[in-house]
Amino acid sequence: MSSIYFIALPLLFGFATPIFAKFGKNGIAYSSVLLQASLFLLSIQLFVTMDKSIIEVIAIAPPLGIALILDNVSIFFVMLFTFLVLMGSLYYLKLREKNPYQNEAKFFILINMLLASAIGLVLSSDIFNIYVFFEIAGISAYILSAYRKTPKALEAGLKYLITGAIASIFLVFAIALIYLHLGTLNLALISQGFTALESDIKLLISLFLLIGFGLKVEIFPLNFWVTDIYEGSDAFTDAFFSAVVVKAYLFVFFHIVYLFLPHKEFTLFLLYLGAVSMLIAEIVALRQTNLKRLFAYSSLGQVGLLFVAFSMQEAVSITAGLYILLAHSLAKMVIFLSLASLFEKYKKEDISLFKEMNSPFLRNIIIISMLSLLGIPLLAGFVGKFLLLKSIAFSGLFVLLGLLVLASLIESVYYFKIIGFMFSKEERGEKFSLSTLQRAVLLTLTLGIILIGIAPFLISDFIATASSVMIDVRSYQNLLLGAN
Amino acid sequence: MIGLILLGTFIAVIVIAFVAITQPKLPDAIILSMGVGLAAVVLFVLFQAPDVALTEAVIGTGIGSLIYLMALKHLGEQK
Amino acid sequence: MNIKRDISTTTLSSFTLSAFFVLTVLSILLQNIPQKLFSAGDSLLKLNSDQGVANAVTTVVVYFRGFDTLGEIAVLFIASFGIGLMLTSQTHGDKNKVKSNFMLQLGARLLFPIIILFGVYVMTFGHLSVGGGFQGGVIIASAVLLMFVSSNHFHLSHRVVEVLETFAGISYVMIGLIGLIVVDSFLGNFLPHNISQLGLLLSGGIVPIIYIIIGIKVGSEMSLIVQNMLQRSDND
Repeated sequence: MSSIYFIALPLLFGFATPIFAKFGKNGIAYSSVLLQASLFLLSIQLFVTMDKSIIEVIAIAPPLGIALILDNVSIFFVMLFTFLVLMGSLYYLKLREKNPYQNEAKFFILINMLLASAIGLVLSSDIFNIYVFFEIAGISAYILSAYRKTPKALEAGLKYLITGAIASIFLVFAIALIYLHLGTLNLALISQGFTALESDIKLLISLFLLIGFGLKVEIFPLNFWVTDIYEGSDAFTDAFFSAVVVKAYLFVFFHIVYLFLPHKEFTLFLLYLGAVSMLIAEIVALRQTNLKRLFAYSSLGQVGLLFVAFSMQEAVSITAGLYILLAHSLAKMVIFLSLASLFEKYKKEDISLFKEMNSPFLRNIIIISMLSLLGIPLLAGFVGKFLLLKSIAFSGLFVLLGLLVLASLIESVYYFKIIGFMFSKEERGEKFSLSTLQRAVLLTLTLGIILIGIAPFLISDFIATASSVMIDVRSYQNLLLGAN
Repeated sequence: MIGLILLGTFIAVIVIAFVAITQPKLPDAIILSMGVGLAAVVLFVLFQAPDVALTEAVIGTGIGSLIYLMALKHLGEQK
Repeated sequence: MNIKRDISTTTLSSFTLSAFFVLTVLSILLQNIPQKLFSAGDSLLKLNSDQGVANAVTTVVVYFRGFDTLGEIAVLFIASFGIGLMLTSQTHGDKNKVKSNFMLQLGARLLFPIIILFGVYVMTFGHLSVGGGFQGGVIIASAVLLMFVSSNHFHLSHRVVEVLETFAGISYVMIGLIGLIVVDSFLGNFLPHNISQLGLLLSGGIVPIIYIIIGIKVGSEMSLIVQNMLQRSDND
């Protein structure tokens, strides 16, 4: 079994769209869902049968050629992404029927391209190949955010295009510098040679990488544009941006950080950058009334938290980070998918929507997801946050601990404001219920949140191995260079 | 001899590029940027990279600039 | 010119700041130019003879870094798709078109087959001489563009372009997958590629085939972009 299928099949699907379009109105939609379901099953099968890391060589052996590496941590991301994209596509099958401007199956092509590139980013072991997937993900995301063609959506698309282009320039410049000084594009060789470089160049490369990826992972000084894009795009699209794309960039960024720069100062800088990012995002979120903006800021806050978790560079905190990442992806998927239906029904995106809405099911699952984001015990978010705070406390970084607790408190203020709105005794319209498929999708995701919260031991072994693999630079180098 | 051509082309690239970015009218700027592309083609040939030169000639000078011009036409129509 | 009046403080300060950053970066870069320039190119060129392809650049682009090239094709595909998506709904068509003069029409018609032929040549001989699929495809697209510019009645059949584009895209990935099955490597060279055939048209295994496919794909995508931007998609 080969990991190349996760990239080749969605690409093949994209190229072959006109053929699938021949199978009637829903041809593209159903075949896309079928493809994603089979990819998800394939990832499960790979996970079950995998006993050691798999290296997939393309054309020629790694130091010169490109190789895809499927180890414990990348299989985690592959499973997560295929699962989330499958769930989103299933939800969209029903959503698009009511939504005339979206009733084009072309959406699925972009989603598949997004899936292929997110998986490519995670699997690839060649920095220029990563750049190519960076571009594919970027371009599909620009088009997705402008898909509605309303003035706001077009503005969002253009903004995304410009920031994305800037990010690409910085990334390409970093790659050029690396190639100039080390003469290789292979991640393992770069990580071996990187420490021997002069410190000026090292700093320059790390800054360029930080700016290039920082724009994409939405970290503090570089995230001024994010909320406009979330507001302009469709809520359904935001679910993918927040749950899949950002997570792929985040993983790649930290993978590169671990491989290249085990420098204490740089990671300390990232640590506090994450904390400040979280605090600022939560403070700004307090004043938001537009729901997409509000949850976009909450995503920014969570990215800050993930930055803290991954920058600690310890197996425990990375485990915590992976738990937080999983919980956040599930919760944001639930929230944005339900918002997509709610916006469509009530034709408003204001926070007062929750005063009008009359749907106990949606209310309950949104509350569960928000509580999970907050880190309430017995929900998925708690496990990660608890582990992270514990490891920070053990490291003696009490200022950081204070900042994170403060940010979580602020976070709870606006979540409880929303919950208050949901239970306000105002006149509510007729009951709004979703179709069975949509309910099933949301229920599956919510059950995932609850299950991880109640029984984290089910996946704790797997996540712990994944985090130890992620930080183990030496075995990554051996795997990549030993194959020739 | 080659050195002189090289030097001349370098100077030409810089001068044309400067004139292009200071041009107030966009069509003129696009045409001048085609000039930069052409000079770059010469440079690539002199550096013995014919593949890159062909690509630059076709994409950078030819179809790229034409797409800019078409986009400009679109903008003009929508005003 | 009064600087204070004509240029706002924000602009000036941001310009100063960026100029400072650029200077810093440049000074770091210029100080640290490595004495010995490394290059993966040499080691790649050494491997080139295994593939029996005369143009080493082609081997690198199509075979050694073939996965990147597939990614770039995908980028082009999505970009063309996005332009189509963003532009097609606007309906302003052939109003105020100037009829182009006779000489231009005639010249374009005479040049069209020659340019197409040149494009096909560059495409098919990519593994032997300068050029290849990307360049050849764009040359073909530029011939199409010339026809669009010169004639008001020219239009591409959407169906034909779609068939070409789909065929090229599918066969690229399929060749990759066949390679995975036959020689156990995605995009692996599963056709005979003997060094003794160096310089022949039929040499290099899958390399020329993939480059022709790339040419078809690039040509059709670029033609679609041109057509969409000129607003003459056939609505019938």
